[in-house]
Amino acid sequence: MSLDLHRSRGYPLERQISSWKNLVQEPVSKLDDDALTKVRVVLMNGIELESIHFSRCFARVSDTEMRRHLAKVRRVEQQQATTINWLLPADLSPLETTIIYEQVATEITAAVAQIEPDEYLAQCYRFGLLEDFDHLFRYSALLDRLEGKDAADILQGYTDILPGRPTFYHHRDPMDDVRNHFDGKKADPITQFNALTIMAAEQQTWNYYMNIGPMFSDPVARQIYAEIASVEEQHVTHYSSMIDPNQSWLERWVMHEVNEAYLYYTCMEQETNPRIKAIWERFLDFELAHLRYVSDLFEKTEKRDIAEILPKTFPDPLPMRSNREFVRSCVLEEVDLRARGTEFVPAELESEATRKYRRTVHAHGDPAAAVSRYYWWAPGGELNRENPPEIPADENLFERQEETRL
Amino acid sequence: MKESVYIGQNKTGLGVAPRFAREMLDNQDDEFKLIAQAEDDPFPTLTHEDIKQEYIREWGDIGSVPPPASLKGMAVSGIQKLTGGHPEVLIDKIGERLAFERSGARLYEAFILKCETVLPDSSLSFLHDIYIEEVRHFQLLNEAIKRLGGDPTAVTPCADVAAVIGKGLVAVVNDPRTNIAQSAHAVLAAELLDNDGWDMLIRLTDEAGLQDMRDDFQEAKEAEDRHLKEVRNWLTELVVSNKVVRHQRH
Repeated sequence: MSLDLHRSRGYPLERQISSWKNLVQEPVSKLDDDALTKVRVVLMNGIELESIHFSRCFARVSDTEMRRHLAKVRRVEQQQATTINWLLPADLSPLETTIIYEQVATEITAAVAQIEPDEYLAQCYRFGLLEDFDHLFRYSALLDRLEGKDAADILQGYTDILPGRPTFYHHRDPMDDVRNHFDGKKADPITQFNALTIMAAEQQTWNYYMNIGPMFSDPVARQIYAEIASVEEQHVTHYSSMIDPNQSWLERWVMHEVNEAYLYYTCMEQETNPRIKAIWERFLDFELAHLRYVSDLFEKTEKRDIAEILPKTFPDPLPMRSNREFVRSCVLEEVDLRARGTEFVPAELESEATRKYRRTVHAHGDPAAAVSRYYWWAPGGELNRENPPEIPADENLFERQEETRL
Repeated sequence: MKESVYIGQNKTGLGVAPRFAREMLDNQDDEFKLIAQAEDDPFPTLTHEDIKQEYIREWGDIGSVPPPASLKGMAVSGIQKLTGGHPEVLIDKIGERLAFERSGARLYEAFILKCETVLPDSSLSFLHDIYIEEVRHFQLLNEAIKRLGGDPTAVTPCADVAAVIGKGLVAVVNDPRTNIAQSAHAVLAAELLDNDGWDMLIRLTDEAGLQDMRDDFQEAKEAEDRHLKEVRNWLTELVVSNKVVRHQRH
């Protein structure tokens, strides 16, 4: 995209407030919309929630004038988050929505892991990827065994239902979850975008599981949400520690805004539902205005040229698609990796602190393991294993789907 | 007029993306099966059923029937004696019906609104009549609890459970995207539950010898029988004809 980020002005900030009616739009269809449309909805909600979370933290350490600037942009961001999150339909159960969350964690982390130029950070993404991919397997078992539903109907074939690094092993001592950070002065912009994106996605997953866990009557589900929310706490620690702590608050604000704009651009370029595409386009315009607003503030306050920190154009859109082969090969090659301090090591080199921590949390058993004991995905659900459906040989049907999907 | 059920862009099921389906089904790799279970798991045979059973044994219940608002009512009706010393069972079940009728009235309000929006020219007077009777039943149950010395504003355990059961019904009818037949299905489910609920109340008041109350409940049950029949017939007609319009996009 030839958009000049140093010059574009976007849609005027003063006109970005919407009515309640405009915030609450027709949701996407659980049955008819593409799985990747729902992946984008969940991802962008997470991105907006992180922008709000960041803005509040910044406000706490700011003077009144800066607090006003933050409040002005944050008000719009809260409305953007509402518009996007309310696109999820009410016929998705909380557990079905969880499947979408884990599809986001799998496919977006896989996409990021493949474009990340920093090898250490790419390893960090692959490490987290194998854990989220495993969560998808455990939750799929729960969905089948609790609600009698097939997670493949949500995933629409893009993402496998296979084990990754068993959830049993995800639990580590906090000292083994903090990673090395990139250097903001030297890092490629895409490195900064990647870290902000995955941190945001994991953080909203943390929030979501912590909120919906108590909505389940089933004690196994309550235990699994407790267990996986704890892993999400570790993942937020893992991903947020990758971000340079030496950047100024304003610099970080600029990076948040440009990453939001980049992701709306990414979504807009790949969206197949025209109505949702129009939302991504509108919000890209909103974000370009936020970026302009914050860039001016940055130049005025820090007396630095925005070009020092802001790329002139967007990188290529983040590819949103099935990453089946990449994910499978990562699982087979790296399933036995464990974290020790900031590094990744073979299983036998795990720290004693982590082993001790794991013994404590698993003292009465591991719910993720229990719910998926002897579970293997079969189309139509586990009860359909002896009666598999015939897959049509009609490749034309697939071609048609591929056209609409990609 | 558009059919309520139609062939469209549904993307669930394996049939719509055969290549993806075949790739997903290529999942018999032993290496994946080997890693599914952690080698170090100290409880390698613990299942989700084991966890459920543990909690079923350990946890308490949903809650209790509140103490009577006045002992006078109980004394006057002699209900203590008549219910074998367990009036709380009757209070609990009347409380359930009361809550269900109140929610049911709201369910009909939402359903009628949808019908009036989608089918402005249809005669919906039978739905209005049902609605009025649901409200009347709610008031009847209110009085019954007072007569027994109970508090009609309290939530009894069975009332609470009935509300949990009803969550899906409320969600279906109030979703603007569900059509008349889909909403009517939810209303029918409510009527089926309601119908059996009144049978239970008749049985309980019969055993307690509360003849007046039993007669009132019998009358209500006859109205509920009529509701069930009318909703069931209408729903059948809607589904078989497939002529119900969905709400047209403007």
